[in-house]
Amino acid sequence: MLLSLRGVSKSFGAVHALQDVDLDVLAGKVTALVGDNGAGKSTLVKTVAGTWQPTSGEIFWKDQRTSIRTPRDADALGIATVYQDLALCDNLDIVQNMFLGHERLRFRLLDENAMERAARGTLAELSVTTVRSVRQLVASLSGGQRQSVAVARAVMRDAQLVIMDEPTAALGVSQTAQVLALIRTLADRGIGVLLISHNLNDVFSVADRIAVLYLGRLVHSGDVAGYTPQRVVEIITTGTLATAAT
Amino acid sequence: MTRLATLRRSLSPGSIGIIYVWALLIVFFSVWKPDLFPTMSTVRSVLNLNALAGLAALAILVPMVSGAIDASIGGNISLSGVCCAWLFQNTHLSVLAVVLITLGIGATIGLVNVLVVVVLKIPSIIGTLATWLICDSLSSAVAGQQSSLSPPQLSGSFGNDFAIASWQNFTIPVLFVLVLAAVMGLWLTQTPSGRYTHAVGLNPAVARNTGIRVSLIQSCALVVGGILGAFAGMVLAAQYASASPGSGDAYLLPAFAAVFLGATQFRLKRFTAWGTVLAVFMLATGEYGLALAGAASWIPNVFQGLALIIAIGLSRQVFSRTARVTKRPQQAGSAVSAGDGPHGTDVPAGATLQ
Ligand SMILES: Nc1ncnc2c1ncn2[C@@H]1O[C@H](COP(=O)(O)OP(=O)(O)OP(=O)(O)O)[C@@H](O)[C@H]1O
Ligand SMILES: [Mg+2]
Repeated sequence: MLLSLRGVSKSFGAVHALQDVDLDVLAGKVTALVGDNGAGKSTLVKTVAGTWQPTSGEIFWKDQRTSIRTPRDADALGIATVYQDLALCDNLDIVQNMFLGHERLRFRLLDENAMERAARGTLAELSVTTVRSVRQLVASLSGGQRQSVAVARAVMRDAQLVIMDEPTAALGVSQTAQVLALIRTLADRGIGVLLISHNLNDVFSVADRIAVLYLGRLVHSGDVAGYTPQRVVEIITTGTLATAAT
Repeated sequence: MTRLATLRRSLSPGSIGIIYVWALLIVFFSVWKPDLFPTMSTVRSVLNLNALAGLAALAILVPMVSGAIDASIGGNISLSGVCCAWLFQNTHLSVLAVVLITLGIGATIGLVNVLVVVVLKIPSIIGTLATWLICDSLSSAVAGQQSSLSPPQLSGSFGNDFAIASWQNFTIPVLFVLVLAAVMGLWLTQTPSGRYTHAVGLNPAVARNTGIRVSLIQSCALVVGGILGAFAGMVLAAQYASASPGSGDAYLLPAFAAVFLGATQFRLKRFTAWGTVLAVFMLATGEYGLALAGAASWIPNVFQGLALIIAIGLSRQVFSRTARVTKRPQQAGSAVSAGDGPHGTDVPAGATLQ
């Protein structure tokens, strides 16, 4: 078990954004986290990423109890979070972004050539071929390219868990396919992926496991094979499955 | 991109406009005043008279890169200059001790700015204006009844080391500026901490997600800015062999003009050390030429204001054209960062120059 949450709750004053959540994320699997607007998906992500502290509950990393107080802690464990809009610095180029916080040095100065080579290598490894130059500013990339760079960044850092909060929202058809393929590649390399998405097509095409949040509670989870999109929609909207048990 | 294209781009007016404007100014004044302007003495005067402005501009550059405007620089220069003179006048401390104490005062001003900007999260332009006011008043308090303090040490070995010593009639502050710009340029472009400082200034929310210690970096930048401000204050006291309350205020606006003008230079539209220094001396060349030509005393300030507007306006034009081509549909990232903590609203450069 790569990451486990046990009884995790998070309140913002009177708002109980997460209540008693148990969730497991496995290495080499894509776990999809779905739920309606305000269900608590982003809050859960931020709790694991070190932005928030859980109000109560425990987090286990590789079966060891741990606490993630800051994004630095998450980074040190090997958890990389790809936020849709806050993953990359617009005014830095691709290489600078991919190495931000983990620069390679030579004589204590930045080794731009080594970083450029490594960045090219990682992008090629992940079959990200649409990027023209690794020295272009991230501001000039398309949405799909940005997601690809953000994912490549996590891979380069040897992240063992990559969390993606709605990576395909605002992407077109081909760019979505590109990002989904990348997600699959990550899982096949043995990396655990926690994917947050509103798009059940995406979820059913790429995920191995599914977990449903409803008003801050984790109401259902299991192998994707045990669900159909219609049933997931029902759980998302009502919190229960009236028809049959999974 | 081919090497030729890279070269052409880096030599284009959009990249190094200051150098072209500077060249134009030199040609213009050389034609207008052929006997007075194109001389070695002009070069010396422009450099010697404006090295201090360069130091002040480099002092605010560091916090600026980290996304915090440090408007306390004027008060810092006044207060540290006056304190330095006061220590010489009223104590028997060695020169080294006085220098260290004065730098400590600058660091303390930086820490007060940290308290205001990083801890209390007051927008830096407002918070540091308050520190400026406090420093300025304190400099009057330290000076007491005297309108200026002129202890003999200011023109002794201290004065020599900080302002008078010269080589080929270039005074030592010119060397300070060049060395400081070189060190700062190297730090900003070639070291991780320099790059983090840029990242914090450009997009604090992303930097935080990346695991960069945003508050720590901004705090360090403000303290370094404070220390450099105190250094400029000592150079000012040494240059005039006296220190008076409020004497640093005149350096505030030119310093900002130079930093912003400098940021319009080079490919990336970021604050840079060499861009800043170039801008200081370009503006100074224009002012000096106008003075030689006998222009009325109000004209140089108008020139400075216009130069700032034109340079930023031009670079925005150039840059927004490239931005329009490459713009992506969503810009939510910058909207989020603008509302974040002490940054965002403070950095017109974010809007102006990106
Ligand atoms: N910083 C905060 N302060 C107060 N309440 C918050 C905060 N962040 C989230 N919440 C609340 O927590 C609940 C869950 O929000 P969250 O953003 O996790 O939902 P989500 O599942 O990501 O929704 P969406 O699909 O719209 O992104 C909401 O009721 C929200 O108002
Ligand atoms: Mg969300």
